[in-house]
Amino acid sequence: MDIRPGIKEYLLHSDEVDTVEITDLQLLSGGAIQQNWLLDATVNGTALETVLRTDSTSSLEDSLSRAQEYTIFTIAFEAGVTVPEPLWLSVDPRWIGKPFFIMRRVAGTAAGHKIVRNDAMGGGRKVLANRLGQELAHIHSIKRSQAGLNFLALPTPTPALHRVAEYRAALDASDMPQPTLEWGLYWLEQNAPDAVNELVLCHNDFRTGNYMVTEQSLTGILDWEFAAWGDPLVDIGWFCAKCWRFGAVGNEAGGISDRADFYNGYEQVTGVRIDRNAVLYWEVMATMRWAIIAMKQGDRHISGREPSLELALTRHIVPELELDILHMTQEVGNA
Amino acid sequence: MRDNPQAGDLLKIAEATFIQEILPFLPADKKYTALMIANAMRISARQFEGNKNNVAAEIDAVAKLLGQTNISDNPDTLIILNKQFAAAIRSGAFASGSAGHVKTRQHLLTCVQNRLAEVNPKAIVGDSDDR
Repeated sequence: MDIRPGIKEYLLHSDEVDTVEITDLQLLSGGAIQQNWLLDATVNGTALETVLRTDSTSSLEDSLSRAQEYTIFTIAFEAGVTVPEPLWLSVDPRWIGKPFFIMRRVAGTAAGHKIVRNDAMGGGRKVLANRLGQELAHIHSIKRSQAGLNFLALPTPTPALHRVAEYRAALDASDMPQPTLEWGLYWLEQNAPDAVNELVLCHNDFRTGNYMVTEQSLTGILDWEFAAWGDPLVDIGWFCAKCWRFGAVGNEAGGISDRADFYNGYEQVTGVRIDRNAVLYWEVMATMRWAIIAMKQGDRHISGREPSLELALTRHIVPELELDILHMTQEVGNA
Repeated sequence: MRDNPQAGDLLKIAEATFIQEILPFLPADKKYTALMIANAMRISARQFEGNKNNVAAEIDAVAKLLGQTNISDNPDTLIILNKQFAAAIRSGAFASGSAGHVKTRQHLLTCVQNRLAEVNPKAIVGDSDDR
């Protein structure tokens, strides 16, 4: 389906647009859950470089709608988080057949394997890790009192036990038993921390690969579709987990730098010291979460619903994550 | 009886030929897909040549951990046993401090390493419990 005429009609339909010429439209690679289109247009005589984000052929049931994601982009942008500026949202299917939003395109790359191998990215590894810590702290400054975010899920009875129940339900829905993942989930249940005093806005996919960066600086935090209220350590554990270091295992902060650089950035903004030991629990949880997602992605291929070599191979990531879980739960021991 | 070369050997030579003779001529935007194809062929070849005794050993080990002796000779025996095993783990039957805890963890480690030997051997290079 050519979505170009629909986009043009939509823009002309909006009050502030009189003339539109679409100069480039290309589907960007990646995005198993969402589609991202490079969209260049001349609007009212001004050249605009944007990205159009819409639903992919399949979606994960716990991901936000495009309208909800657009709301979070807007609130995060206003809270000072470095996100691409949200420009337009359409929930009306008449334009391109599904909801979409358009945001200003930011420069740089999000390719994790390139970022972790380049010492200069973001102004240098330490600068980038510190900046990412600050960005996450700004995200976590958004609390439940924030208007407009009532649609976000609340974890019950606690952030940790909510996830344990969710992942067990995913295992129960799968045909094949997973004793090692059960082993990890039992450990996560037995060692679950208490509920936090105050839930914060968690990005829930804050990791290398989901931010844009040039050699000069960070340019945008992306992929907010899993945002929800939660324990701030969820995001810190996800960012630091070994499975998101893109092979640069020694750089424990997202494969780019030392944890201290990332933690310092976070603490500079919040004024609250991160509990180093408590983060380890959430790294086990992060590894478990990625294993469950990989299993579900594989099931999409195996079931025949969505034949895909990428999904099929993602299923085979699970044993490596299981190995990490067996080692981490042994190293941390029982709390 | 099949003639040689058979599946594992054919996949290995097909993958090597693909990497050497096709991959260099593909446009940049197709390299990622091509590398995935090569990886799928490598996994398939290793699975064909994998240790057929692993399944029997896993059935035996899980049955012992569950305290079962009369094991049926059913193609789905391992799945059935692993479902019981998974449920037992969830119920806390092998919790830290229990009699079967250490053996269970060692069994899980062995199973994971066996699967990794087929899908990602690099992940188990240098892996040990002492790290």
